[in-house]
Amino acid sequence: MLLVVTYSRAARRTLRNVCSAHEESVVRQFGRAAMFEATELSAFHALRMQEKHGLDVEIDRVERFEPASVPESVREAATAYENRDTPSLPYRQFASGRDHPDPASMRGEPLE
Amino acid sequence: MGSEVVRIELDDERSQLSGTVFDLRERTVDRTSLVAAIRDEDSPYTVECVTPGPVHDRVGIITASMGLNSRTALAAAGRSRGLETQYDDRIDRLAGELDDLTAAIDDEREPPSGPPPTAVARLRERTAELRGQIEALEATGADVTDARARLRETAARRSELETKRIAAEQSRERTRERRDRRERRLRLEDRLANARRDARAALVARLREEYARAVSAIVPEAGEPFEAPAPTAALAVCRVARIRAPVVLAVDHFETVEDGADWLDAPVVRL
Repeated sequence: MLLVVTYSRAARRTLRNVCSAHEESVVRQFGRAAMFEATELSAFHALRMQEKHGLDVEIDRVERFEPASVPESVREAATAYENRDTPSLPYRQFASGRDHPDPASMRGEPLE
Repeated sequence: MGSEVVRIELDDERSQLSGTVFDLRERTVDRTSLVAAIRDEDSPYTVECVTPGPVHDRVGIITASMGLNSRTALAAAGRSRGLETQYDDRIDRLAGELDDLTAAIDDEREPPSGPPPTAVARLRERTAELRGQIEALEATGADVTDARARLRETAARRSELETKRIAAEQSRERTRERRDRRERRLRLEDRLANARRDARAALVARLREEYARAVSAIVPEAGEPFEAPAPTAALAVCRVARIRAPVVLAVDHFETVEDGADWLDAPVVRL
């Protein structure tokens, strides 16, 4: 998908106009940003906005998140931590007593 | 009160008109050119008068087909009388911060992108592969001259791509910083717009009664004063405002042009 983020009032106005005129291409709109389907038409609209507003329009390509692409140990850790008995327990401590990955090791691991 | 004397010089004759009330219905006068001359813009006419303020931009020319945001105009009328609000310090401060930040913003665009990450990775793999081959060849005592040459070439290409990749990363970082400043600017602009909106609302609340009285003086059976037709609302705003540049009237609301000038307490040109 294409993520378009705006950085000025004028660019934000243009984005809103484009979104309402081309609803079929919009996956989701958030205030001054919007996600478009990854089509040539979306790219055309995004590039037009950038042509008009320069650096006030940022275009990024983002992927849909698939939980299955995350190692099982990480998914299990998230589930277990959110279901912990002691709400005040920091994750680092929670993980050390059990078989869960510690934050430092996860930080260095890029996602697939 | 008494308005300052206004001097008007039209292109078609050398005669100069002066005074505070002008009835030009008998003459051929181009409205756009007259308004331009009042606002000191390019025009075949010349008008000597007090420089019009923001309220004149909104209600300085009154025609049957005009549009008007009467609340915004009424707030401008309040400003023309020197009224202040509790939000003004905040507006000044935010506007100052915004000016400083805007001065630090540049539009320089970085070169679009570096080599695709896969290209660098492929060359890295290829280098490792060639090293493996050389070791294997050396173990059998075979000639490794060609293999070494290929390795050198691959390594050179890889380092070239790496350099480009690092440059691209740095340029992305600079672009991110430029956008950080823009993000702060956008937040400031939004806060400033909110403060201005609050100030407008405060001014409107303060002048609402006075404005409503002016509207009902023009149209006695008027309902909600902010829903009055634009020319009526504009006349009422003019009356509330302190206007010293001539108001151009292209509607019939007064018995005489003098009546209009008296009621509006402003110089008037009737077209």
